[in-house]
Amino acid sequence: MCGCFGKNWGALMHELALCSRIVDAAREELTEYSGEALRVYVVIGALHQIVPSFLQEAYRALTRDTVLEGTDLVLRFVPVRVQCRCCDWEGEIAPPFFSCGRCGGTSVALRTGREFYLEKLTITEKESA
Amino acid sequence: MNEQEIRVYRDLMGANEKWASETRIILEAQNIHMLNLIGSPGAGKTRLLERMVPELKRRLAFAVLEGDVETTNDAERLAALDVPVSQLLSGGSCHLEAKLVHTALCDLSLDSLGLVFVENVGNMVCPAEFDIGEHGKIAVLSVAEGEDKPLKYPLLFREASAVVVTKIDLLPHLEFDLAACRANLQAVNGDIPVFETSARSGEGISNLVDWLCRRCDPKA
Repeated sequence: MCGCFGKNWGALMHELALCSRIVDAAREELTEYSGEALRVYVVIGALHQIVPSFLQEAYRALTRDTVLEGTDLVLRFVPVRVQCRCCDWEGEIAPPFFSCGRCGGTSVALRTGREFYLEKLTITEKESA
Repeated sequence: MNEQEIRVYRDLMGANEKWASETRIILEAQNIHMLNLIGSPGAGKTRLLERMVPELKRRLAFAVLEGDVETTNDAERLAALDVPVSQLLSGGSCHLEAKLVHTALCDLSLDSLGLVFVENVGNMVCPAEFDIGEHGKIAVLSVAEGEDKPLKYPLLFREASAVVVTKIDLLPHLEFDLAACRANLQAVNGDIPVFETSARSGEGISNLVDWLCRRCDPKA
């Protein structure tokens, strides 16, 4: 922590906890390749209460002096979708209101919005000898 | 410069999930129900547990895993009531992770236990993200906080199996709108049971204890 986030580190705690998972996973995947890392693509469900700018700041701090230093963190957000337990409607909703878009019922099952995975990495292609 | 794309599709909660699954295996084998208490600092999580102790103790054997960033104060309060308790110090982290909970659970004497409460670190955001192997999350919300909290922290209230509203004895002194709070909870999680309680007067505690006992033994 050591002041790398300036005054903001307390507010970043949440993003820091999640970002350390991104960095650890990407570094582990990269050990199998010799190319230089360029971009790290992460998919995040909209239900995770993440502030993208905070996540980016955490990423810059956590990748300092690692093979990921200077790489781009590319985020793709997945909207929240639910399925109604009454009328079976399935569609996108705007949290925090979890209700059916057709009958208005509030008994709905979550279909998407909880994703949090490392989708892909891009690296420089190895020069052919 | 040519680029190479590496497809990964790796779950970033995988390591935490692995420990949560290990915990679930132990709980299933011992037939123990585990609940994760989540709420802001000062919501009254420890006080709620203290107040439930006499009635709950008569009905089932339970233990508490007490999560804090620092100090053993809360664990000492419960130990003073002869509740088996184990302290988990998150070491500066704002939530408990599955591995820490797993280790603490293994340190408990599990024989004959029916229920384990995990009192998470006071925080409404991060603890909702991390599965610790529990069977359900209980959101604890005090009337001193604000009726819009379910809308501000939808993940917690969406994931929770029940909400305990605490400190209702303070209602005459506050502008907290209980009906609006119920409506907000309904909007976020239409199926959620809500228990309105006061640890000071004891109001609502028996209802909550009944519900907990039914969860641990649906036949009871």
